[in-house]
Amino acid sequence: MAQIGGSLPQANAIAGGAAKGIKDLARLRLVTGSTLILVSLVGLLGADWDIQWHAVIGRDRTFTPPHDLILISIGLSGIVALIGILIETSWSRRHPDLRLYGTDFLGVLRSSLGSYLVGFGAVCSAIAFPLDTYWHSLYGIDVSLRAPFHTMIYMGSVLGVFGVIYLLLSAAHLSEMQHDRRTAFLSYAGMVAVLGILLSKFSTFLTPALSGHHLHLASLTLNLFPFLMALTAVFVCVLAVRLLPWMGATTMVVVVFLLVFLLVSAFVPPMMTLLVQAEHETYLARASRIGSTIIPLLGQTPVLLLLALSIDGVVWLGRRGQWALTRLKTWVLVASMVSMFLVAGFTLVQQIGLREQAAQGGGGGRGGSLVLGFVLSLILTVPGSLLGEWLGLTISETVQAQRR
Amino acid sequence: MRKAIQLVLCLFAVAALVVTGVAFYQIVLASTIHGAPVRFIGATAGSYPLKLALYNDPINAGDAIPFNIAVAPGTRGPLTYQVTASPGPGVPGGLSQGDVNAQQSTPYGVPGSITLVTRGLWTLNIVITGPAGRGEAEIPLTAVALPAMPAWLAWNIGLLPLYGLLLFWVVQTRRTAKKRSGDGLSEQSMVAETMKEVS
Repeated sequence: MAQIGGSLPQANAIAGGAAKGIKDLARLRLVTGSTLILVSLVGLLGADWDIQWHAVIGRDRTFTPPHDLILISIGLSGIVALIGILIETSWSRRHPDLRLYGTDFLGVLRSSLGSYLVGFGAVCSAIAFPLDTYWHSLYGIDVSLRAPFHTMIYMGSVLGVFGVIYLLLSAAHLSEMQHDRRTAFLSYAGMVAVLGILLSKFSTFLTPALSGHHLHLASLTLNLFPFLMALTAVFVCVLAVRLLPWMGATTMVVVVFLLVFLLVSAFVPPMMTLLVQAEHETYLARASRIGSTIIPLLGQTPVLLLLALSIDGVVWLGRRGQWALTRLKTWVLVASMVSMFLVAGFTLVQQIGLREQAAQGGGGGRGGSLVLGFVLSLILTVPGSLLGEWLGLTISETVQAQRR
Repeated sequence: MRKAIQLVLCLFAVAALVVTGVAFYQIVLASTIHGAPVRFIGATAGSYPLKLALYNDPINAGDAIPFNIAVAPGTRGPLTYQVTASPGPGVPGGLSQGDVNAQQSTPYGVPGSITLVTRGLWTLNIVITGPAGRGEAEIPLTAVALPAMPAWLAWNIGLLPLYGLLLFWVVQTRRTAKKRSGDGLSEQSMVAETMKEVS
């Protein structure tokens, strides 16, 4: 499904110094993108650690260690993007041929669209930090993950991730033009990693929807989690299928997502234990039972592999049988819906189990409406998948067209 | 038009970063760079009479609040300090740990800082340990915050990056569609011209 239509000068039309310049430009974008992947991984670790810190220790000051990690990530992503922009601007002044492959900003700067996006994301997240301190000063430490300025920090980082996708896709495209296979391969590999990080960010942010965001219809309570999970997971998977030229791209993305999950699980508990001791912190009364053990973020579920495998299976069948694009899209959508129904169902059951465990078997008595609410919530995966697929297709098309 | 939008974005970024810098200064550096104390509070921690010097009045919630602890002259031996702040009833906060630099000494005593995360009543607990044993003092403090921002405004500011991303995609999608239709038209005209030449 990944199709690259050319809107830029082709390889055979570019010769000598210009070709060398394009090769260097591709490599610069690959290096910038790869550095930004590492930086955003630092931010992701900080964010997931911060969720645990808030849950068991509480926010006792602005500069807690997890906040420091998030801030380092924001600052570094801004600096790396700025350096990339300045280098590209200077190159395009020396080699006017390269101007074709950049976007002008105020007639002063000329660089990849991705770098600007990363810069804008970093600025947004940086502004959000003191605003978040102000919000906590008003409403305390129990502010939800979905508070206005948490959302702003988070969306700033998501914006940065999209910037990296633009950067790496452009690096892959430029290096393909120059038949530089190694750079193209590394760029696509970077895209797999960055899409995995994007899925991890989405799944972390939608986890509160499991317990906190419901739609009340008469005696029925609909959980919005299945809708949101289907929307985000199908969106990322469709992006992977459309932007990556490899077979099994979606599965690779979900494997990266699971590796990130393992990294967080391995990193957070020992860091919590270490810092609680080093900084003489005390656990909140409500969290003394949890301690440093990791709080499960159920949105980050390994069952998402089912979605990835089913989409990749359909794509494989489609390529083998040389299906028409419309047929392929329809079957990808059907596979997404069915697998998201199962994935969301499994996650909801897991959540109900955990809740009942916490309540020590209490509750009950509204079995009928609970089951109906559960089933209707799961049906929300259908509009979620539809919207996710439409968004994925539309945006991947735009990203492809603007990949210079 | 495009330049104007870029200029607005650039000015927004610069202004926002300046404001953010000032805010970070308030939150962090104000605890180390400050003028003279503006308020003194006397208390007794066991057998240690002390004077707490504060550099902010009122105390802003969320900022790192600098302070000095001066134990009455004549107290002998090395002293260790532990400062925490616990939220008063109804204040949604947790125990806050203070930093005290007992190695350093100023005319107002040993310096330290603490953050009162949320507005409301807090109790500053100062524990002093020395040759005369361990003493504890409790000093009530009130933290204030700026007036509350309406939720709709906060959410709209919070969603700015999302608005930016959506706007960017909408513009790019329209541009891509235009480009496509342009390419289609030029292809059609080329085919027509070729057909003419052939005929």
